[in-house]
Amino acid sequence: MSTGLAREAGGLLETLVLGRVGARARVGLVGEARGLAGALRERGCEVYEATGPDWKAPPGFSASFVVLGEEGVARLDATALAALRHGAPEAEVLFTLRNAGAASALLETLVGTAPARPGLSETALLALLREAGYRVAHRQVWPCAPRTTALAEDAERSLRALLAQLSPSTQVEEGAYAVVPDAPAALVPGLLSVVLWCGEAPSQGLLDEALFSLACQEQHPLELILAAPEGQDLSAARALLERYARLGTFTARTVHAAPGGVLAEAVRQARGQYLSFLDARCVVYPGHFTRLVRALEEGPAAWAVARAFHTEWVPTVGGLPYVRAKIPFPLGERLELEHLLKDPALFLALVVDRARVGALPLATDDPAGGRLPDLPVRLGALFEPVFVAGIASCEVRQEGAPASVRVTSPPAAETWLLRTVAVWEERVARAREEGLSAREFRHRLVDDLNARIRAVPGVHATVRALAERLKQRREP
Amino acid sequence: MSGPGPTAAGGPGVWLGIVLYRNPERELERLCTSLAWNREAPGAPAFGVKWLDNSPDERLRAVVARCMPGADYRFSGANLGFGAAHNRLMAEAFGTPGVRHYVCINPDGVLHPDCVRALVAEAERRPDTGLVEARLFPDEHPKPYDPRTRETPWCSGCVLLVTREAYTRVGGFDERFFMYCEDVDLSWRARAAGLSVRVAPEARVHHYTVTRELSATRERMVRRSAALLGAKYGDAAFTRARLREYAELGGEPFAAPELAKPERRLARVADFGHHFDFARRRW
Repeated sequence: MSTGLAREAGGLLETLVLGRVGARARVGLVGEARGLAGALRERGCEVYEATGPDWKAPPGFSASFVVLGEEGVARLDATALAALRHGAPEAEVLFTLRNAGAASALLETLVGTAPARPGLSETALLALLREAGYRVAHRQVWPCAPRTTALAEDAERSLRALLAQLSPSTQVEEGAYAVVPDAPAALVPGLLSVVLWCGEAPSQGLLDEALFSLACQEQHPLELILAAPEGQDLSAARALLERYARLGTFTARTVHAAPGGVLAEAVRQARGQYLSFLDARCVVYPGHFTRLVRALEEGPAAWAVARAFHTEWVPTVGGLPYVRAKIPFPLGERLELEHLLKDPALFLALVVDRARVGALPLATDDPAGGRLPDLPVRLGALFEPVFVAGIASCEVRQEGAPASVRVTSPPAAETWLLRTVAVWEERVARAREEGLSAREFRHRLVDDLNARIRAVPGVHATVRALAERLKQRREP
Repeated sequence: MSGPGPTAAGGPGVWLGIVLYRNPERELERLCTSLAWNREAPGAPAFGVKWLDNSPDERLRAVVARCMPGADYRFSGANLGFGAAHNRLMAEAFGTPGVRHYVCINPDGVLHPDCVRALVAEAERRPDTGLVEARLFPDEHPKPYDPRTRETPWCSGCVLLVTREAYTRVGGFDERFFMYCEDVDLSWRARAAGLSVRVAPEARVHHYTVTRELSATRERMVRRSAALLGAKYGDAAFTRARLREYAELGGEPFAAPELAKPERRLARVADFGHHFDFARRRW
């Protein structure tokens, strides 16, 4: 985010417009943006000043830019945007926004020190633009002031942190935007999009197995998005996809983007209500996604996680893996917070219902050097997942031991958890119960051992003496 | 193309046999698509496909004809069981001069495009090859194999190549096994006869039954076959345990198999120390 100083240096809109509009461009001005006309004409631009608050293109004027003033932004809705796309189909649209969803404004309204801020939140505006077929080409934002209410400092900080986790745009006070026409990306109900990370150049054999396993999935409809950094050749993957597409079980495409932003771009292009991630070295069992999606459909959870295998393998001639071991994870019948922290590979065993996570950003950093994104932790902080226990249904296949898996950035200590007190009480009670059971088991084991060796002459006394000595050493 | 050339009569040197029993249409469509991939795969041998239907009626004839025009489909008129049905096809295959390999194919699998090529290539790699199995995918069977020699204690019948040499020396499946365990028995007999029993890791077949709904009939059938296997190889404890489980599952009484005293070479390869895995597990 920029600093407040940058904002004070000049009008946000004027800075934005003069920074992006080149000489001799054709510019349409709507609402109070009309004040910019002189500066643009000085640059040799052809300027049309709309008379009303809505954009209406004059005959023969094909705008390359449309600038929306405050009033124009306030009136934005699906109808206005449709008119804009129709009247200026090629134009880049420039505007600024005072965020009605800023954490500062929301908290002030909640505590009753200010009325609700009028207009759109940044989240709502961006969603509106996306649905109308625009994508953000430029976004410069200014953060909220650090303290705006008389709430206790800790309380305000934690409330803001939770809002930030749900939607980072709540931290935005004001912003300047340039959006350009793009294909609409409305979510398709029931569709599962699987983003397949191909960035670490998996061998042809492993990639083939990943795609073969996906092609034989029982979950339909299924969209596969193969994602790789710019410059990486995916022609072999495309050939495999073409072959497996004959099973008629999926649609597929490839996405290239600048390194670091590949998964984010793939998520942006994913059309499915349900979203999942996989590495091109992993395989899924046929019912994997079906079980996860069913768990979401049958309950209220926003995301679901399956038990998976860490598959330890060594390459053989031909590059195919010789599997040495499969270790299921996470263990137990419940998914604990600890699992999300310890098993970053759960990133590759989840399905998210995008209709239930609001504005939570699902775009993640790209995996790098065996490090995986922290999406499970971010999701888990706000949304209790449903855990599909039972038999593991996918394999996270990495050469060498699973200990090499790490998250790209460890979860921040400031990550807040949204859970009811009842949930915490239940967790603590369970942990206490498990501790007691373990102690009882230990006692039973010692009793049993004691009974067995009692019958052996001499051994019992020796073992007891040894145990006493060890106990004394432990207790200074 | 590679692998065995055509027979003297111009027919393929490899036969694929598929035994049907009331299979869903979609399953056969997927299988046929995968067979087409295998025909088109670079270096794939020419192969013929024979269908033998054990279903109570001939409804699948039209399905097979639609999925594979001109298919060689036969209706058996009775549920012969897995081993007996394949034996019929195998006898016909090896009765045809020039046919070198017969491959049993389970109709609920999807063959990887390289499956047939890799199976045949592995079989041709050594003259003493008896059996070669495809690797089950994506959930590989945990029984061991040597990644260098590819030798394995036994081969699954899901996608199993039987060489002419194996058929000549040990015959086909023991038809007393209606279904299940006949593959273990054939593998042990092949090994006892000095033949090599291997996996072709590149030959993958998508076949996953772990989450298949539990069926009491299937569970009883597995126990009955396992008891027969135990008796055939003289393991009294294993046989008794399986018969007890069979009874507990409500199995109809049947004449318990007589405990045999197998030849030493057979007894040496049999492994009843690892329950239904019949070998040490890798995981």
